[in-house]
Amino acid sequence: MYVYILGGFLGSGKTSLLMRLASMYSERKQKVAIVVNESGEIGVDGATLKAQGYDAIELPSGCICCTLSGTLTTALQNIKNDLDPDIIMIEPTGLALPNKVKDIVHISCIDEDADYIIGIADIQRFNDLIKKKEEFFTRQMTGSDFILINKCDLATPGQLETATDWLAKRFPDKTIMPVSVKEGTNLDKVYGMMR
Amino acid sequence: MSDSHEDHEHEKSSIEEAGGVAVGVTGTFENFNSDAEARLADALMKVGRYVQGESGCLLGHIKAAVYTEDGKGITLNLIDMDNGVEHHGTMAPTEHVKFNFMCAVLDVDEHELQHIMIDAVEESGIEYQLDPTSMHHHHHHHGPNGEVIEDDDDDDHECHCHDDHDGDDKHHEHHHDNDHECHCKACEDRRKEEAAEKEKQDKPSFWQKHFGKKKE
Repeated sequence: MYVYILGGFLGSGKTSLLMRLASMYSERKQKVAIVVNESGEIGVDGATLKAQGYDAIELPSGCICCTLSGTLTTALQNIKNDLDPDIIMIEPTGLALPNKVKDIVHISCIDEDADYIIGIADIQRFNDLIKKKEEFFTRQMTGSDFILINKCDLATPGQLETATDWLAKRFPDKTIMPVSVKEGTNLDKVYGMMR
Repeated sequence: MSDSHEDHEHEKSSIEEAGGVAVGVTGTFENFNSDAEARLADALMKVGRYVQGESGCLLGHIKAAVYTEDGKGITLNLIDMDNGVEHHGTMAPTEHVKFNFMCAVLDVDEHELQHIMIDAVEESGIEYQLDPTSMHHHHHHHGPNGEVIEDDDDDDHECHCHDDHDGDDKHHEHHHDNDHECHCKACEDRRKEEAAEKEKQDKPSFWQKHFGKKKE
């Protein structure tokens, strides 16, 4: 069993990516369990996933990297015991720190074969985010096994290069790849990098 | 990462660290159709404009899910003001649907944001009912349609959100503990009034002078 944590800021396209990847796994007859976390009491992602035909476990009213860490542990143990999926995909809130979620997965004793963090950055809001929350965004991307720059179809000339340089400078050992979840650009490569 | 963050005794949540807020309301819509969907999209845009005005840019998302009892439905998603509201899924006209309306953004006042969201739904013209349990602050003084309940004595907290604030210089001290500008209807109205009054200051009429004094 492999665990994937999709980390990235609010609005970066985590839910869309999750749905695309879950479809790709399902098409290959892999059993996928989805865990969705939203900061507020009122969630929308769970409803979205259900509306699109995905069965997701929702963990609302807090953040699984901190206030709901215990809830995540229990949820993962239940998933392991009840569903025993091939893949668990976890979508934390856009304000979570994915490396802390990974720590919680480790201590949940679910005997996973491996766990990975997929970092997602939004090219359209990259500059605004760096301007306002550089430190937080950097911490979000820390621990990512690879970083995707999403919405590359909407990038203006030079934007992708600037963002890639910025990320490569801070995370020289990571694979950084532009993708468009909406258009499917490079998603086959992402799938190829995953187990 | 600061050492204090790692110290569980004083650990901040990641939301606090990011300076983010996440609020939402749930409820039901009656007679939901494509016109209502467009109106709901306008409501999301209204909230987006507020966030942009407060925070400088919209960093985060404003989302709404509208669905039937069996979970099928549509999602409206606003993450970029220039791109507008994304619509996912389709829904045939439905008499009775549920909705979740949430907003997770940075650098705005949580309480005020919820006001703006409720106002946006109210002003959309969609026939709606709010689920009182989904409203943290508001449940004590708003009815299921967002209307103000004057004689609500659920608790001892006196809310002034919908006062006209005349003569009340400290009207928001209970929920605006920073420099955020309040955009609730009463404050907006007051600001408009003050701006109009300022314009006429050169040649004030007796009535305007009198009215101005009364407001002080």
